Amino acid sequence: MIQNSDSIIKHLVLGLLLLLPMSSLAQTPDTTSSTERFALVHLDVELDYGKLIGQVVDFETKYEGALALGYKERFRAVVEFGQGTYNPQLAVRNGSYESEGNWTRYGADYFLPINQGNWLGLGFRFANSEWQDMGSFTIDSDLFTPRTETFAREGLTASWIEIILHTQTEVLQGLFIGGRVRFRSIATFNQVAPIEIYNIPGFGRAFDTSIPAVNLYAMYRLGIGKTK
Amino acid sequence: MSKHIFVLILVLGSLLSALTSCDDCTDCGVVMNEPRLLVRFFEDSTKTSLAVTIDTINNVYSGEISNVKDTVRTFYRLPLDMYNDSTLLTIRSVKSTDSLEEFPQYDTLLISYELNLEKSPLNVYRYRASQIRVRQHTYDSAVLICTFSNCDMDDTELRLYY
Repeated sequence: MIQNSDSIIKHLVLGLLLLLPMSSLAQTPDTTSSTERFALVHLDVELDYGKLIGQVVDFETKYEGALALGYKERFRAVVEFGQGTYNPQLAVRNGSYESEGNWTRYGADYFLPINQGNWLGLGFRFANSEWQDMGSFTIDSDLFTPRTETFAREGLTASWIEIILHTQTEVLQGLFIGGRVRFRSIATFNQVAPIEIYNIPGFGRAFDTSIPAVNLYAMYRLGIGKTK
Repeated sequence: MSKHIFVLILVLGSLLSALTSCDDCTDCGVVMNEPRLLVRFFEDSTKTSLAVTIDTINNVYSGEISNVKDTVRTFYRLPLDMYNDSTLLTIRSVKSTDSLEEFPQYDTLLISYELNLEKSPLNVYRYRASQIRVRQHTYDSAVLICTFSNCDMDDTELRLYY
């Protein structure tokens, strides 16, 4: 029942998130002239607002942002960083599980201006995560004393690579909103036994070696100089 | 045109996210967490399956299960102690054709095993018993049938002859 309500909330949030960029398209400023001249260098500051809205679910709390340094608004080097806690109720069905950690992604993007403030982009990331987890489980018995075990692990690490497709639009001068689809593939990760790691912060479920992900972000671009 | 591409990619991405963020199964059948051993009852003289009413199952250190006396069965799953590598049980039972008050039968059964922690596909952690052996018993005879050499609890049955 809890999972059903989480699923409903998740889909409502996704629906609302879809409305934001659609409504912004109607307000896209006429930047015909600005598309002909780009900032020579620019600094981007991003916030993943999808993760903020995702706080409505009760099994995870995540924050993610990014800084980027770009050239001619086409190339940019990016560093992303995030922090999250995750306590899925079904990771250990006869107990509890919680993981907490930080992740960082380094990479680069190439953006292609379509027209009037709309951009498509392609990028890649090298990412790593470091986290800790803890939990417990109880095995009941009709006759014998129930057995409860606890566990806690620190210094867990994983790394992965990502290919990213971006789409973004400029809603106000220097302010963009956009979305990106990521295709992640694990590079290094060692599962532990007997209590398996359920979630890798910044990546997702540990039993998937390749998974897609979606981000929705708002970005402010500070440009310096102008060039064609 | 570019507006449509922007919206299309967002829609596809959101759909992809919704479809891949699957929920785990929450109603996938009976989950038995504690280690148990399947026992079947047989008539010793005819070697045929025997219906038995188990009245109580007792362990001297842990108490007893006494709510099974209304159940007539040809098999039962005996609980195993998760804190030890052996379990001693005293079982009060009667053949289904006899009266429990007139012909109660008291038997003891000592089983040894190894316990290993495992995770089920439903993310339930439990102890699995293997290398199961019958160390002592007071039945007419007891035969352990192991499908595989490690005598794992899921592939083993103990046949008890009255």
